Amino acid sequence: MSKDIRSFFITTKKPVKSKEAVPDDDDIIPESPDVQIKKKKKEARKKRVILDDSDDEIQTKKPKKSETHLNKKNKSTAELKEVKPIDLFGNAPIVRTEPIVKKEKNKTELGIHSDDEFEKSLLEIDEIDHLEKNKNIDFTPLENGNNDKSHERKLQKEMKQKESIKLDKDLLPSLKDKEKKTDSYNVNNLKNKSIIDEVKEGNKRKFSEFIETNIKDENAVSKKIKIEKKHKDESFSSKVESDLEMNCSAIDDEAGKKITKNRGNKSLNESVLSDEERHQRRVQSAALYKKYLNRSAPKHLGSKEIPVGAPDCLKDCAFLLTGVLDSFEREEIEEAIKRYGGTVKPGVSRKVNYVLVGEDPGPAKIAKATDLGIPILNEDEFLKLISNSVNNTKLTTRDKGLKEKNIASKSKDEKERKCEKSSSKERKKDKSKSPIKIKEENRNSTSKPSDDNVQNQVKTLNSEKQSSSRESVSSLGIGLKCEQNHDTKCNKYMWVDKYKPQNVKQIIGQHGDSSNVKKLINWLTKWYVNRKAKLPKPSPWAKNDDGGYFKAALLSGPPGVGKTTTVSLVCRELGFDAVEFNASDTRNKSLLKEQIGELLSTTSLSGYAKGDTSKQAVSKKHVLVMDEVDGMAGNEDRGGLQELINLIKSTSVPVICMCNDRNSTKMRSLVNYCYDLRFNRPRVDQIRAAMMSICFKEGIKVAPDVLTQLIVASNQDVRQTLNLLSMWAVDEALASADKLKRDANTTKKDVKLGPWEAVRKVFSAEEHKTMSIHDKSDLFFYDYNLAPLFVQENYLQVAPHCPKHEVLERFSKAADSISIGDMVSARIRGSQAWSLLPIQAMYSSVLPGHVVSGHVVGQIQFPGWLGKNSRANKMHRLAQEIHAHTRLSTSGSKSSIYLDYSSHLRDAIVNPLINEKTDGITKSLEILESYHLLREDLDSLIELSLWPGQRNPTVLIEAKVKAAMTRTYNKTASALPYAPGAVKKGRNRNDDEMDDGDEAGDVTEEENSDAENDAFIKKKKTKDSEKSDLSKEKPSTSKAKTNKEKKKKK
Amino acid sequence: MDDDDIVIMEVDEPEKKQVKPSSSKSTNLPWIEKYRPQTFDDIVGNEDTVSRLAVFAKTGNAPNIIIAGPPGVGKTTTILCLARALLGVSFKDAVLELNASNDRGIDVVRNKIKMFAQQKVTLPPGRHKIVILDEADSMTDGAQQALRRTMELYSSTTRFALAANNSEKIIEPIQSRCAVLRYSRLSDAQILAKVIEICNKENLSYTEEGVSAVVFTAQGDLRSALNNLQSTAQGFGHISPDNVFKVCDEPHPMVVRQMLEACTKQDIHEAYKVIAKLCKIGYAAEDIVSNIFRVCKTLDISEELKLAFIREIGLTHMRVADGLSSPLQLAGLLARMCRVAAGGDPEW
Repeated sequence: MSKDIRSFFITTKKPVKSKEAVPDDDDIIPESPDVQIKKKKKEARKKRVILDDSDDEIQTKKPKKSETHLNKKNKSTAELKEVKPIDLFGNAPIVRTEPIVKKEKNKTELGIHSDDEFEKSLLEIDEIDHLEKNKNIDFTPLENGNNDKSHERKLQKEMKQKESIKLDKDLLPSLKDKEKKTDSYNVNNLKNKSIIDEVKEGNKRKFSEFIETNIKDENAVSKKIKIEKKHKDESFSSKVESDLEMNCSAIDDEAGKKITKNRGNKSLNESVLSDEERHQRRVQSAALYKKYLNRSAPKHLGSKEIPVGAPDCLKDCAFLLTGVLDSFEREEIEEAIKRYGGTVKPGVSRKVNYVLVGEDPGPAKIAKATDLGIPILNEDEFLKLISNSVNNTKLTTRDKGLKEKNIASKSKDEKERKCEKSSSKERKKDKSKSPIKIKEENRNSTSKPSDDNVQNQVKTLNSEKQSSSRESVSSLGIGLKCEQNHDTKCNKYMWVDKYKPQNVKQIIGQHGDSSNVKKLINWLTKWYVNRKAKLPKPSPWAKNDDGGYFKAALLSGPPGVGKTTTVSLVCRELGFDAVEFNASDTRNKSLLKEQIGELLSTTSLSGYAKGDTSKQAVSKKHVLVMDEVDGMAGNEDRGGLQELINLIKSTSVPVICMCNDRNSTKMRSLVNYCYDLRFNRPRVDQIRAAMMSICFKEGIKVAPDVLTQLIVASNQDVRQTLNLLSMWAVDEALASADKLKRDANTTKKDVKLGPWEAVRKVFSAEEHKTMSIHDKSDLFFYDYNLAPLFVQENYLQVAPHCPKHEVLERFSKAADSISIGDMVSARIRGSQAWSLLPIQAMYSSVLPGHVVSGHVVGQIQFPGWLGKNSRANKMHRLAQEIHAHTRLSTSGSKSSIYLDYSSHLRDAIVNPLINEKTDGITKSLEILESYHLLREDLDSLIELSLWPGQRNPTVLIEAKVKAAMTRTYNKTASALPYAPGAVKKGRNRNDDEMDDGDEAGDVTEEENSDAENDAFIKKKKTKDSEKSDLSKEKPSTSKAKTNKEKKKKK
Repeated sequence: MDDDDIVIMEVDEPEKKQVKPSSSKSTNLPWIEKYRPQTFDDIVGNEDTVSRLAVFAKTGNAPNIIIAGPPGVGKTTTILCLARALLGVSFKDAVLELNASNDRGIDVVRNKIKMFAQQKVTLPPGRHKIVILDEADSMTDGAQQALRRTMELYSSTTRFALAANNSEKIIEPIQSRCAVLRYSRLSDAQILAKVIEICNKENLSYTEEGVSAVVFTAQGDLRSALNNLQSTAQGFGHISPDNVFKVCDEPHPMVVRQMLEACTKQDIHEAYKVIAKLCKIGYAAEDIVSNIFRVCKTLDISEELKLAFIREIGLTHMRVADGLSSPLQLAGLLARMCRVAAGGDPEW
């Protein structure tokens, strides 16, 4: 056989992916050649989906498997034509059914399902694999089509492997992956030249018809099949036992297969394109574009109705629309598709399951679609698809798209055939299938009584072998048990509890290696090791930090994303005992100290209580879980956070903290001691997938788009979405799509706006469109203290949407309104006229927002007024102080001190120090004394007299001089005419004065010095707390002072 | 002994029920209590939500709920109905109701509510103890925080029902744990129907206009409608518009609306007549102005003009609040509003 050279290259890649699968049973093999020829790739794939449990291996199930093998073989043989794998393996009595998987493969798969059991099974399989490899080596030299053979084997292996994976979990994603892989693999396989040529011809000739329907394709297909048959007959003729009926049914499906071939074909074509052709194409496409622009509206708009289909009948089907449909607007169809669970894709890709074609379709799309082997439907076929779905709902809902449907119909066919024929093989096949189906159905109908289905199934089963029926009964039993459990549970638990993740893998949005769950597991498992290791503190920017340094982890994230769930599951899985404290416990300093210490030193006997008497029953591994640390608030929990930090520093067990907002001020001190794990909201589609499966289990129908809306409305909060769903679920009559949509809109979670968002809304013209005047004034009431300030600070940052010449006028109007608002505010606060508040809302927020409505350019600033105000207060205080101290020597008021005296006074003191260095000290001290100023008054004086933009003159004073001056001041300090503490502002002033009074009483003879003494004590206290920037000098000075005092007293 | 107790309880219940509607004592009750709905069927408005809750009342296993909505639309009533329907005779034991009049600080949440959640009450399957937190928006953040985990940990035995006026005052984590149900204001027709029904039950003499005046004063608040109705009935024995507005001492919004509409047509004479009348009746200037302000917000005129009006009203309100409550100020307000309506630029 002439082979395309490419096939050789491809083979080199494949070995990594796939290995051999071996047909199971002897009896089946004779049948295989036939089946091979007729069956399709697609079917084979579908079968795989059904055949979940080959690994569990009950003998009776094997036959079924073998069938799938046959299918696979068929598929592959059909594609490759010259390959006769069955020659090699099929005849030989091979007993094993275990899938054989290569090691490399294992690893990649492990990434997807990190599952211990799975791993184990893979390891077992590997051993087998080695054996098989040897076999392969023996066989291969024997045949001509070596390459093809190995392909073939690999393919089979791959499929097997997939099956085995399936067994472990039927995780949809993994399935998809697999399918993708097979797809690509198939494409590779399709390079056989003869086929390609053939298809090319057929392609050219029938391109246009080909588009129309699948039926037409059959011709071409049948040709191909003939050829294939020929090949096969040559090789397998002896073994062929034909089953004509199956042939016929298989032919229908042949179309899909053929299309895949075309795909390979097309790519070949393209590579051959000459420049001329390309040019032609360009011209063509230009013409097409013109046509597109002129194309007409639907001709018979409204002449048909979209039939009512089973809900979700198009689930997981992706559609591509092209061309003008006959009787529908594009939007209608898209809506219909979405309503039934499908998606509409903008471009042709492998993910598209159907192409829906109208008049004047885009030829490029069609061509690509045919390349990719996507079935092409016209409008009527599409409608049929929906209306037919009513009949097959059960099967279709569970399975995926068209392929699944095919299986369904196929299995039906088989059933019928079975009735007619009584061949034992057939029975076996069905037998193996039906139990699985029953299981599925049981699952499906958990919430609804499923008697009918079950009965039907039982009937069909009765006609089958005993063993099979036994099996099915057992599975039925399991199903019933499940139902019972379900019933008893459902009344007791809320959905949130009922569908709580049972293991780490079920947590939504926490898969992947860099997920928080993984990180937490890592951190927790290595915790004890890391304690000995003494790791350096990682830089805060280190990306892949595993948190080894930290003794505590802080999980932060919005509510309802699974923080607490994660922690409890991780602890359970790693065998830690979680000691949990949450906001409903009092967590103040002393309680934390006492209780937690005790709790952590004890051991848990819970294992014994549960009947586990092994050694592990008593665990000594504790984890301290502090849930809702941001809820440690108020008087009750005073000092709790600080104590928690101390606890973390000294802890001997891992500590896990949880909070919502790690940026809040409360958390600021804690975050430094914690390994930071941030939970983000899961994506909408992640939540939706989980919710859909729950809806399914509960037997309620919610359209995907409504669900999306609901999820978005709840702010991607899994828990609330569940709560809302359970609310909806009770009343099925209410659950119509439109109503739910409306509902979903109104269920928006109310999140309190921060002043930043509020002020952005105040000025946003976009938001104003949908807001009533009440809504606008509500923006003011989010925080009526801050809102006016924010508006005033930011109104100039707005770019009003208006003609340019009006901009200034509008700003002036806004300013005017703000000023009136300020007047109102003064009245509100001055005379407690709170009834004016709504009016202030108008002036301070609504009116300015209205006149300059536009959009905010740049960042929204925090009101500068607050800072300025507090600074002003401080200045007043300082001026007051100096005014009081200098009262004997000055005659001005406070403001004249501020305006007239301060700068000159400062210069008089500072300049000698700058100019004359140490010699000027006495001079400046003289001035200080003559004005009765204290040393620290000098600092306030400098601060007071310094205007924005001026340079601080004290920087010119050398540090030496400064120090010397302070020393001399301390030595020479003399009596002041006032008690310095009196005017100073300090929290403990009263207490201090009391103490001082006592002291004064004791040392009556030294009144003056006592007064001084007071001053010094005061100085120490106030300064330490207030001005930490001067702390360098202070300690020495105060010591000096106190020393001096002591001397004096002596 | 135990058996006896139970028997007695069961006998008690029906008796009470019989007594309630017929007793003459109940005239002492305010009508809002007397006619407070006892079952879901009697609840006015928000049918969707109520019917859903009614299903829960049958099946049990209701999720935690927050009912948010303006006052007087039946939030508390709904929750009480739900609790009663779910728990029946064990209502007393299995319901903890706390409202703003109770101390609901952080320690109460940590002690009282938690203790209640931990209590064992024998209930039929699918029924749970219910903690009703009325006016939950007045709970402090700390108290709400303390509630979080309690809501989850004891969800197998205890469910929470919260009622609040504005749900944004309830912290997000709590909202996340609940299904949030929103009640909207009742429509005038709904209130009207209920008011007429009660008028008939009480054998009141009423006129159509009188009843609709009651509805108007209520502004979607059924409770205030009933209160107004009762006070009118007891004061005058006849429900007519005049009597109603005498009781609900407030300048009639319709009159004010007419006045404002006159202003938009720059008909100051017409407008002044209204003001003069209101002053003559004896309304305080402050009441008049604040009423004008309220009506103006709902006036059906262009946003631009509305805000211009509001600006003038605000200025006047400020002066009135300063003590200048002379009719002159009000007349001035009218004049300025007319000028604004004529397109004359105000002072800005």
